[in-house]
Amino acid sequence: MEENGTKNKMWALLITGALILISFMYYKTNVFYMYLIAYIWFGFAYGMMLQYGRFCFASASRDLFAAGVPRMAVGILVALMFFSLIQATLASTNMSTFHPAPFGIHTLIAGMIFGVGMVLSGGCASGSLYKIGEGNMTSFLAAFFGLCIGQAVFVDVKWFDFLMPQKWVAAAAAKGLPADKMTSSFDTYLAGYVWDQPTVRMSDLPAIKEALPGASKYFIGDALLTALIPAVILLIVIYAFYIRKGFLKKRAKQKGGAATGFGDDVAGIWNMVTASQRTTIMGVLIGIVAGLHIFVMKGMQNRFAVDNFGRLLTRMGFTGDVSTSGKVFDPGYWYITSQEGQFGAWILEKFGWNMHDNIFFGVNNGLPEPWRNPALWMSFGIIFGAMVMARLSNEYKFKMPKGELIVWGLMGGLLMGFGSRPALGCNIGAFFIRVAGGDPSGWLYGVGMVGGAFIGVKFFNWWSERKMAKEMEAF
Amino acid sequence: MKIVIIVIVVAILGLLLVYSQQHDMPAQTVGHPAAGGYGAAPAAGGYGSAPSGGYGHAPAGGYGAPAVGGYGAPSGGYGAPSGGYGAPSGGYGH
Repeated sequence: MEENGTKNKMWALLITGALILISFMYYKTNVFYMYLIAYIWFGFAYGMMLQYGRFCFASASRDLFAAGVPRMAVGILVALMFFSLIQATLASTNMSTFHPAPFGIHTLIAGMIFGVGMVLSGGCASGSLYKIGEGNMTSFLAAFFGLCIGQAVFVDVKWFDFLMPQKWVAAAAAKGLPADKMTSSFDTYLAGYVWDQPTVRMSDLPAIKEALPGASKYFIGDALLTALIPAVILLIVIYAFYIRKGFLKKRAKQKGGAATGFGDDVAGIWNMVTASQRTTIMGVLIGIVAGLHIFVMKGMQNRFAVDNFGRLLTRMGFTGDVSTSGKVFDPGYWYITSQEGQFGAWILEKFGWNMHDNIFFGVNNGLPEPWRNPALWMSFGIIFGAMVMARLSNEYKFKMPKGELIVWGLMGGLLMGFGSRPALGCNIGAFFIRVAGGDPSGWLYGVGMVGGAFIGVKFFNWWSERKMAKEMEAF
Repeated sequence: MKIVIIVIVVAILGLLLVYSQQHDMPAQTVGHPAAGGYGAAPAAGGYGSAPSGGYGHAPAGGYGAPAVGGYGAPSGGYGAPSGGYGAPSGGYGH
């Protein structure tokens, strides 16, 4: 046991040391890589926190719907609340890189597909990455074949042309995009539908702008109305459904009488929030670090006078890495999935598949080499950060998937990949970041995701019972 | 050991924070590449780019942009702050 602990510590030091060395080498190669280094280390910090707090949207849904344990869901809501306040502070000081996304029913549908997928694979987009760091190879299957390869294929095939209404085809054609970049069903969907949807950010609404001048529109419109109030309502709902009865019974016993007053319920909610200090503290920390990440990336952009890392790649001469707009995927904040899609596309290109002939890679996000891909480094950072924390906690265990776990991992990963693309994000980019930034479309995705997770949990319950019944029959 | 690693990470993040807030880049290294392709900012650009771009029209941009951009972007093309088809730093392309 002792020997194992020493080995784990050595590994943790080795990984951290290697990343420091890599960062230093990047810096010495070109100072512009400081931009990329920032992504590495914020990713590393996310990984450590995610692993320590066991932060996973799939676990949150499964625990809540299958076991009635709200610990993780509460932690996520706490993180959301803190992050929204930090986002508002950053927006009010013009240091935010946040931008709202197109609002439409597609967000809800995509969230639902993603929700089913994350429950099947046993980890959301960010959860799968930290679980890879813990040695979970089912999560690796989900991330590699679903998020990487699955997403890349999804944006480049014509398989879904039959789903594209003529209206979208016409709207996409009317934009006059070059034919060599308009080849897939997803291109039609993007140019013919998504780009025509409105974006909504509370602080940008005329009514909010007029009523709340100055910075207050960010704190009241974006943080309070979009994130804080809905999150508090959700906490109350979770308390009412899962905690209240048991808590009041226990409290009445302690008080030696009835416990049904308002004060008792407030105490119950507080008790629920603080029940798992580990998750709640990590929720607060993740919110703060995610805000700091935005601040640093905006600072980097200001420092190098660019709006995207693709500009720096171009200056360094790597023009083949960037899209036709001169950019690469560079969200400026915590984000998962698009970079995995880029990685998948990069691999497929090595096998001769042209991945530049679509809008997603060719026009929007580019296809940089993985070692020059800032957001992909953030994902690697999450994996390594989680690995270090898991090693230090003696929780690292290399686990190969067996039997049906392989099927669930692959199927869930593919559904996550397919569910994140149409909404242009996952549980982090399409829900967490958007809601905290004042974009109500995040809640639309969240509702879909929770609905999908509910379906996934019910499916799993049905599957397990069926399997058990068969085993009992055989027995 | 956990504390040591946490201290290292916090120190690196702190370093990055300080570094990112120092805006002392020499003038000659500042600036965007010249004319950009589809919606690239800020030079002459295609789809919805500001200020002289094609799709979305200069100087006040197309597709319902608040100011000078396309597709709801502050100043750019399809949703990007400074141009392009919803490119990463501000658009829908994620």
